[in-house]
Amino acid sequence: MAELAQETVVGETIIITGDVQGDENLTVYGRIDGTIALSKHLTVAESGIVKAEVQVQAAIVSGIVVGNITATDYIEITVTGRLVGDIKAPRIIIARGARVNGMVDMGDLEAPRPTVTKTARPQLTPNAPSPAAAVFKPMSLPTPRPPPIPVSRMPTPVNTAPIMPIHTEIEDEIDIDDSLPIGSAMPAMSPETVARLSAKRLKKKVVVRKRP
Amino acid sequence: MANTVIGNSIVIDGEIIGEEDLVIQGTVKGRVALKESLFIEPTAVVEADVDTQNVEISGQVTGNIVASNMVELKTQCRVVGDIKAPRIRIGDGASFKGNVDMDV
Repeated sequence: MAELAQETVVGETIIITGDVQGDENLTVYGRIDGTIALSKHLTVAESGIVKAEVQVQAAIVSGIVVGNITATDYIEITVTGRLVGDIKAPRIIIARGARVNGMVDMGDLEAPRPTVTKTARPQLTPNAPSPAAAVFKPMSLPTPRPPPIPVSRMPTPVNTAPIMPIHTEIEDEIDIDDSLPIGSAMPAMSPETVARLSAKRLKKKVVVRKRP
Repeated sequence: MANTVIGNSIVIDGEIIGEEDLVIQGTVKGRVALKESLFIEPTAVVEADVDTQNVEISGQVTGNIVASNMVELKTQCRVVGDIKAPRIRIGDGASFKGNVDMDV
């Protein structure tokens, strides 16, 4: 049988009505009505019609999509793509000639723009039931921040290094310099502070990482 | 040559209707209706009623199968359900439980 490594193809004359979920790339030449939840890429070919709520890592639309698309990596609407519905992703590419009718949500506009790198793919275990709902973490908007200070606040490339892990319980004890521009790294703690704080036993620990 | 492949980690809960060959390597629940051939690979789990022209089963099927041409149960397959087809072939090593009706 044809060994299409790790890719699912829905042929041109196939109609799937229902829920599709999985951990591999899906290319649609036919029609899907319902919902799609993948931890990898969805490609809607030019002949493809998708009438579904889509939750994927990335979506490339060259056909017709009626429904909302939520992607954790990017959404691309190519020149032959037609979309009616909302799109939500940190990166969006809409080609000239595409037709889009809906709301565009790219998350918090003040956060540093995500860098253009390939995100790590989740490990696949064959034959293990792994619904994409468990792997896929829905995007949530960050809490509102105070208005930006009207100074040049573009951080230098050095400052976009991963943010130091912070512990919520001890946040009050660190002097936060409010004059620092938003988005820059946390001020380094003095050795005395580090020694004092590491002696405490913290009940709760929250690690904040840069949003992928 | 099959054009449509439902991959290993895909779970489809609903209906699949088509006019071409279909290869299932993942999980399908619901119903499958094709005008051509259906190939159910060893890794597949199909809990659906099947209505196609030909069926070639190497995986697990729970549901009734209706074929207009031939049904073939290959080695290591497990089928629970009724089969209705004019031609049936059950290979050595296949597991099957259900009725067989060849008078279409």
